Amino acid sequence: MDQFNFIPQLARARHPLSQILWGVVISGMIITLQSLLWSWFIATPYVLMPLGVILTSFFGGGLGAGFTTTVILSFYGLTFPGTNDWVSPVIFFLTGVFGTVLVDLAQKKIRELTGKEVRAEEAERLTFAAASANIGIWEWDIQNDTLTWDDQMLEFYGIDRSTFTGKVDTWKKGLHPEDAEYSNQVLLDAVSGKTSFKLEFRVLHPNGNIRMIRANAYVMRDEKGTAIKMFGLNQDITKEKNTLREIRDLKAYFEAALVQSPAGIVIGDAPNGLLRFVNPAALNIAGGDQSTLVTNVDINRYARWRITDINSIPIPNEELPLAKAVRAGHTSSENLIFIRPNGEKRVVFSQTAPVRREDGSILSGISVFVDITEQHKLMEELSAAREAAEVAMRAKAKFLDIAAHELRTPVTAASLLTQLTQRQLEKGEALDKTLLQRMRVQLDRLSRLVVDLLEVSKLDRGVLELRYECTDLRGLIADCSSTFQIQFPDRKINFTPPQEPLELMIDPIRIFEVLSNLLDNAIKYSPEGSPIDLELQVGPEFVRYSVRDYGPGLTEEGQRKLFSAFERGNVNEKTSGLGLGLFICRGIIALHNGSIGVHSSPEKGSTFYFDLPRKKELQKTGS
Amino acid sequence: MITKNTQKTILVIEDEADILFSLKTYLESEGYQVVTAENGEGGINFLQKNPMPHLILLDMKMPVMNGWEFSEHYRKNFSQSLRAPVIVMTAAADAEARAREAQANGWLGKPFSLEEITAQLQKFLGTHPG
Repeated sequence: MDQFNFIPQLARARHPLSQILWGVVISGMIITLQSLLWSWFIATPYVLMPLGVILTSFFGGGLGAGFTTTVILSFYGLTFPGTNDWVSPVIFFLTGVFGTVLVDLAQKKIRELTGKEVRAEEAERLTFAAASANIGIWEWDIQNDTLTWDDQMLEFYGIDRSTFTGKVDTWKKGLHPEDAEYSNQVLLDAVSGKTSFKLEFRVLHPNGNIRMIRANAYVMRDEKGTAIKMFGLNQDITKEKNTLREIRDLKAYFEAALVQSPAGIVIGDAPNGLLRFVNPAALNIAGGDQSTLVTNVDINRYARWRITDINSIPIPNEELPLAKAVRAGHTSSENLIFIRPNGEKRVVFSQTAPVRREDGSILSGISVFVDITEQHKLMEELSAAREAAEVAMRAKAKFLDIAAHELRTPVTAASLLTQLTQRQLEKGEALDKTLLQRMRVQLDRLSRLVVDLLEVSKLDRGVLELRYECTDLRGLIADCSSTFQIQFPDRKINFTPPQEPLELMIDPIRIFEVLSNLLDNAIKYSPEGSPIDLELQVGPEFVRYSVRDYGPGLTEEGQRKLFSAFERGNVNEKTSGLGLGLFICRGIIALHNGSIGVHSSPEKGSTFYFDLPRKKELQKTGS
Repeated sequence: MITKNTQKTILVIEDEADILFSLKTYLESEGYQVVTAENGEGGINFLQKNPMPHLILLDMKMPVMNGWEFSEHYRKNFSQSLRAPVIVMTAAADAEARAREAQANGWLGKPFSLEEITAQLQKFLGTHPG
């Protein structure tokens, strides 16, 4: 490549004043040396003069330096013994002038000879380097406006060698219009020495393609500082710029996605889990603002968030999924609970994984979580409801079983009795009237069961109707008590009635049913011979009737089940009946706007009671 | 026609008076000797004091001692060679399974007919009550 002028300089051309200074300095050094060495070596001017001239010519940067030295040393030579005539200084002077010119010529010759070799070698190296680095090289001779481009430059600007004018306009025309003004200004400033030539610009190819170029150059100046030449490099940074832009775009996309995500996202950097990023959704879920978040600290105290597992057991910071992902590369998904600063709990489904570099080392950890509090609550309610439904289903199935059993017993008896009667008639035997009597009893029992079932069905559907009458509750209790006393003569039923009758608007038949049921239970579930105490208390707004027995009492579980349908307080295979009595009682009392309950504890007997309101206007509703 | 000492004895254990009465009436009219108990405990008491009957009709759901408890006592206290066949009478929906549970020999699902009783008796005691 011959286009380039690399000039290796033995001594750079210096300003004339600088050359004189160099002459003075080097002469001074030689005179000082001679003075110091005077005692044992007296150099003759014939030795000193050529030495001075050669040194100065080499380092002084021009003929001026040599002449300066010649003049100074010539005068110095006058002081030497035996030289104080006019011949010697003249000879010194002529020697100096001749030596200076000779050295200058020699220097020029050496430059010419070595310069070519160096130039070729350098050019080769440069070409290789430029090609490898995808760099174009240019040179601009400013005085003559001669622009030299290598092939790479032509490629960068999308033009052909044949259309290359070799003028700086070629470059200016190749610039993207938007970048042209700025780039030209930088060139002008570089030439004038205001700035260095270092810039990036776009190039617009004739075919419309755009390239990004990074340019560097230095300006060569003459002795007066005038710019003579510019030598520079162009580098195609289109790919680099595009890659950078792609990365920036990608970053923008991801950042937007992370910020917009309805899921909470937290990113911690390895190895310490310094918190890099927390998106607004994460802050929202955790119920804090930026102030609750301490960024750029160890993950172990990265946020003042309290996090527990799904069973509300606190998780130590170093055991948090993100910490484990960053530390040990753990991947996990689990339900967690965030406790907000105000104490509110949010259930989240969280997935955590390490982010790895290509070589597999951990770059960071990322946790993504969604708030599932509502779903979680719903699921729990659903599962509770399902459980309740299952319990109810089982109770109903059990009830059906019991009901079938209870219905079958009187049916069996009645059926057998009927068959016996039939047999007697067929055989022509006398009809045993007790058979019919027994049959009647069994059928009555059957119809009572059916009535009970119907009542439960009505209560269940809310269609049981009451027939209110003004009734003396005291009298009703007394009637019930005496009926049972006749039936169970060995049981002592104690009832001390109030002095006055107690008139209430009630359904006497239904309330009598309740009284009978409670008394029947008390007798059934207490030991034979033990007494039963009945009591009627009258308050200003309510009346309370209670039945106390001295039986085994009830557990809390038993008391709880007592008033539900199809359940018995004490589950016992030996007890017959549908277990509907108290359920029906409760229904009837509730329709009267009253309430029913029990006080009991195991081994201490039970007191069943109901309260009825005394106000008539209340009692009339629902009839 | 049938002498008393050759008559076959049936123990009926049933708490429901009318069913007990009906069974007793029917079985006696068929020529069997009938002894009764109102619950399992009564049944065991009878067996401990009297010769083993030829057959036991056992209700399952009874107060004091139910059919299962009776069966357990019965198997525990009387050797297999001595034991009379047991036919359970049950109102449960899964009568056969209940009978198997109590390790009974046969079962009658309530309500049952007189003919069904006869069929069971013939199966275990032969065609003739004597």
